[in-house]
Amino acid sequence: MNARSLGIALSLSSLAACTGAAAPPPADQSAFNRATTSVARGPFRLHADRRRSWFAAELAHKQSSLLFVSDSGTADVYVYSLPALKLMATVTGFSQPQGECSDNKGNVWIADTNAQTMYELSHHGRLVNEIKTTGAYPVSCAWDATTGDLAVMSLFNGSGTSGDVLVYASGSGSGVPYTNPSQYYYDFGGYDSEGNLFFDGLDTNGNFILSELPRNASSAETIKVSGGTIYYPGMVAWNTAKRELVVGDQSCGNSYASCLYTLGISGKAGTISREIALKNSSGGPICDLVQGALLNGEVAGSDFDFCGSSPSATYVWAFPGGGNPTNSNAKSDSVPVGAAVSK
Amino acid sequence: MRDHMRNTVAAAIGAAVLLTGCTGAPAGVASPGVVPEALPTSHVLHGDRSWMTPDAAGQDLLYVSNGNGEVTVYRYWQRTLVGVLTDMTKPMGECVDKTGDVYVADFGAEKILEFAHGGTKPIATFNDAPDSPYACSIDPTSGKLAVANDDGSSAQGNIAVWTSASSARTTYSDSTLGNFQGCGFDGSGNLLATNGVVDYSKKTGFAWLPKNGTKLININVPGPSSNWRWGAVMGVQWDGKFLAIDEEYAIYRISLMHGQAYYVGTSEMFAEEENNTGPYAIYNNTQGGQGTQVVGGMHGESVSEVAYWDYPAGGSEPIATITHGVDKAFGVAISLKK
Repeated sequence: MNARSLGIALSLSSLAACTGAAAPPPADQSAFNRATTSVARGPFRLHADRRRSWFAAELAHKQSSLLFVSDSGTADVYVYSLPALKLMATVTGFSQPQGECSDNKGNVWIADTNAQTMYELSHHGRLVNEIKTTGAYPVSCAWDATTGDLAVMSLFNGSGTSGDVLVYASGSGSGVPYTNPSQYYYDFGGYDSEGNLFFDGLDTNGNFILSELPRNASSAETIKVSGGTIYYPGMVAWNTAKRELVVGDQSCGNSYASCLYTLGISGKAGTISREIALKNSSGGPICDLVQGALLNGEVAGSDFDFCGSSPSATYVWAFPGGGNPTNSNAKSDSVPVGAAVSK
Repeated sequence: MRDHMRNTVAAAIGAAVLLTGCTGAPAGVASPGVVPEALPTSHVLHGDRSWMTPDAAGQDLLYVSNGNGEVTVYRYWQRTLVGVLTDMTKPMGECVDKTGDVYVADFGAEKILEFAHGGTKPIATFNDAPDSPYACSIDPTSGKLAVANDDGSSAQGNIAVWTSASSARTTYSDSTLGNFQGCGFDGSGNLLATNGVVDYSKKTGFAWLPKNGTKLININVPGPSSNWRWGAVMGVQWDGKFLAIDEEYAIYRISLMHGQAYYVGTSEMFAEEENNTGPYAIYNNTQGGQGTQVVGGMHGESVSEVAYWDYPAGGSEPIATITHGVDKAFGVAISLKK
């Protein structure tokens, strides 16, 4: 087995101190109007939106962990406190915000698919940077703690060809595309602490596929999964404590339910070691966890409930125990998709 | 110029016939709008009974819902009239199942009529009362019939789904959209529905009914620009690879994946001095492939016709038209020969 240590999802614990460098937002944050002011600092501007962003006053000085949730139904990004899941901000003005990832500064990248743009928000929810991914369908991202590179998963190509992974050195410049010839749709990804990128999606036959882009490699290759069947690609994150990969299945058991799997990685093989069931506040299986985010001993994310069993909501569950949520908030979610923890 | 183009494209259609293996096409392609000389004189276009020429069942057929209450039927490639279906109050949207049966939404009679390919009498009737059926779609994975009901600005419509004509319908409503004017299944059995053209206190929007789902889910469907706003949506079709949303002069191709919609591309179809009335039908004779032509109703001050374009290429002019028997066409459907 290749040595794999701290991955991006859990590397944030060692990076929390960096968030203190973020300057507090302007005093007028509660009346933040994207349409006219858009950005607190810097030249970057999201597209016009009739609704205003909202920021809780206490967020300006918040240094503890926050959960960023993107909602493609409302085209907003919600910022929650952790673990209480108190709403701290609603950032408006996106077009189709989906997957997210966070870096060592506590900043969170948002993949806006329809805008073909990656937006970088500060720990306090302010826009600090953006990358145009013209021609791509960015649906998620992963941040490499070893290099500062940003990997963007582009779902597919509208001209009828497969998607790819675009790697932006130090989170800027032009993206360098990488592909696995066996993969068609590219969904979610995560780096391990050695800079190897794992990402999932669907192959050319519509079946789940897990790929790895080894550090410094020129192309990606398939990781053969055994010990179970994953039907529809969900989150990908590296569990540092167990040195294992965590992969979500949005169609657990080929049904309208989501679950997580832990996989041991050895060479080009991934062996499922555990299935983690996640329940909603009604005690039933969650319908669709599109992306979750790992934090210390917990996993947070949202259930896009198109199954009709309960409202869409954001949850915190024990990890790896899963089961009933330890906290929930169902006040804002419409079509929640992405999740990232900012420390 | 237009006649020149039509002559040119008539040849193109002839070539297309060869390419698609439609050997039933004649050596010559009839001019648009010309009544075929072989049409029996006893057949009357505006009669009180349905009729169909004996050879119709062996042809690819185009069904057209007209404002005069008739559904006219044409050989798809020759564009010549082969039949008329009567006894309908206000035929509107149409759809076709895997076997070639054609379903016509009779808006005024609150029912959907199913006709066998080339048949003159309904083989099944789906009672949609008290709702008013506007458009329909057949689930390619299950054969279920979905109907978009538009009950007017003072009432709320729904999406009605039948597993068979004898089964009770299941309805799905959405307070955000109100009524429905279009719906289309994708290749996986997911339904995308729209309230279409709204002239009251609603915005044009979409909802998604997952395969075997229990409720409609509002869904943001992106367009060609990040701040795209939908307006005059006429219908939703499945082109074999993507969902095709038609809005006046264009079809917008959309991919629907696990509750997320992605904009893929646009086909623009233009014609001089006419308004596209939609919804369109997409010709597709390949399993798993994408459609190659699109047909839709059009009418202006001086003409009422059905027009053909290449797809997904679109074009600045139709490649062919039909005027004979066309009266403010609305729904169209293409039923391939068996």
